[in-house]
Amino acid sequence: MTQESSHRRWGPLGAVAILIVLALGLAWFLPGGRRLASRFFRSLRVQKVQTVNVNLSNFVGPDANRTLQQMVSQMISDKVTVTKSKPGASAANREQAAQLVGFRVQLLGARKDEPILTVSGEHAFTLTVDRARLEAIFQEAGRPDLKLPASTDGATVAVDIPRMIHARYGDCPGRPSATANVATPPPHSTEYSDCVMLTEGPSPEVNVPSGLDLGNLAEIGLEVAGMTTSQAKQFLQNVNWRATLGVPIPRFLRSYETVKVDGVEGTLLNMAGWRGPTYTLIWAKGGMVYSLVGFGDSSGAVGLANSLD
Amino acid sequence: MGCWVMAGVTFREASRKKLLWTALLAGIGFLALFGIALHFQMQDLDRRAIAPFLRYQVLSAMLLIALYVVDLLAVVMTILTSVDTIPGEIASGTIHAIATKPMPRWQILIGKWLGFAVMIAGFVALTFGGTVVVAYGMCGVTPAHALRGGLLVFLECLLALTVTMMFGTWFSTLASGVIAIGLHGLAFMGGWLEQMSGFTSSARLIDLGIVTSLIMPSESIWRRAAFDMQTPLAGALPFSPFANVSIPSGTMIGYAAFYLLVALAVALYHFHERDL
Repeated sequence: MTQESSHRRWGPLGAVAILIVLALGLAWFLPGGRRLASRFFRSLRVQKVQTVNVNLSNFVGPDANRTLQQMVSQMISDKVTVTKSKPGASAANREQAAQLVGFRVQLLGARKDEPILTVSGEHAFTLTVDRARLEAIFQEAGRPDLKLPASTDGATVAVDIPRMIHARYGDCPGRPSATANVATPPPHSTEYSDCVMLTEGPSPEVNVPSGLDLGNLAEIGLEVAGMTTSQAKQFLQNVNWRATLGVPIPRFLRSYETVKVDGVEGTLLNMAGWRGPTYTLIWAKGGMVYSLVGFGDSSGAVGLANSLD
Repeated sequence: MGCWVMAGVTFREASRKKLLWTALLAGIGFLALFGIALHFQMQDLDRRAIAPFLRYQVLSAMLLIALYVVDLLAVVMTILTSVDTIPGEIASGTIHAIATKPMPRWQILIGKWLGFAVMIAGFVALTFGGTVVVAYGMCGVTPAHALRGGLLVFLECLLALTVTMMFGTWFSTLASGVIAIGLHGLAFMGGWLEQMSGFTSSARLIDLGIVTSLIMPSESIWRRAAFDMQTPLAGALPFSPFANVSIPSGTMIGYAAFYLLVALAVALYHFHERDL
């Protein structure tokens, strides 16, 4: 009687459940089944057209922040179409690196050790402007006065990031990992003190629709990166935001100063983080952008930068 | 009509068992804790030179975390308060006094479901709405699309209620509770696995998360709510712990609603068929 009752309880529903499981299992092994399942899975999550995965900070330590370009593009829109994505490569020497990038490679003459050279990939993508989202961000950032013309909605921003050279000198930390802050002990104060990382390459090309000032977004991005409002404003007065788009902006900024590098004005950022680099020097000359990241004394940064040849 | 009578009985029964008062006390305790925490956070932020909009983001992230706690609290309360309603009455024989009345069994189940749904709506309105009001009152922070977020949290609770009642038509109180909480735990884990996939861009972790959300879609409803409620800047530059790694779509919410209806239909069918 109990068995009968139990069978009655499970009977039809159990059979339906088993049939469904069997049908799904069978469909998985049919040629179109997996494709269908994959399409169904994709429909259950919001599809982004394509994410921008342009990492220009290969050699930057664990205190590196996102590049300004990544921040600005994420603020403009989720609708990103990658039009060019060429992978990076390593280079055995200066000549090979120059062949890969297509411009004359300058290295630090003041360093006698051989650098490890890598060339970052070449990337281009377009963003479809979401005007409502941008205005909401301006509003949030305390800039409700910034209004965008209606024509900007749906307009395209095209970003072209050319290949850049990364030269790593000395004993440098490995690539930052997501768990670095909790999984690894902080380095000794003198560890990596001879590490210097030079990045050089042409300024990224950015085409924006009229009425959209990316400088405002760059300012917000810099504040998110850790600068105060006045620091961000002054920084952008000193350094053209276009020039810094491909340069990782460091976190834990303590101070910055304007310095003379190779006859032009550069910005020396001093970091306050208890791990990671101690300074970043950024300057632009002749259509090229340079950044020098170091873990040692920042007083030697300008001298190193002036030794480029 | 019978449904509403049963809903009223369920509501009064919950009141008699002091469920309403204990839930109310828990909600008020939570709001008080949140208010104190927000007060301390604002004092600490006042001591730092931080851009106003970044301060807003910090407080907004804190609000979102509080709403997540509200969500968890509401789902657990839903399961705990409703788990005994069917199996408990069957075990104690109380159901015989109700089922012998000229009232179809489906009206008993739907009535109980409605009674709990109204109670849960009240609890969500108090805790969710209270959290939003406290955050706005103390620091002017509001979630984007608060109403949509609140309704999604309520939908998640209804789903948990329906699943709990469905298992209650089969199993004992304890077993039903364990299964319902276990399924929500599975969904919780799946949701965070999807979130963790952001570290390695792992498609397999995302698939695993999707499969668990198909087995129990509760957590994915919350993650959609979190996505809708975050600030535009937090959405653009993933600030919050509920960053946009893998966002449940409208189809997923539709699936959750369908899942709820199927679970309700199964519960009705089985409650109708079983020996009491």
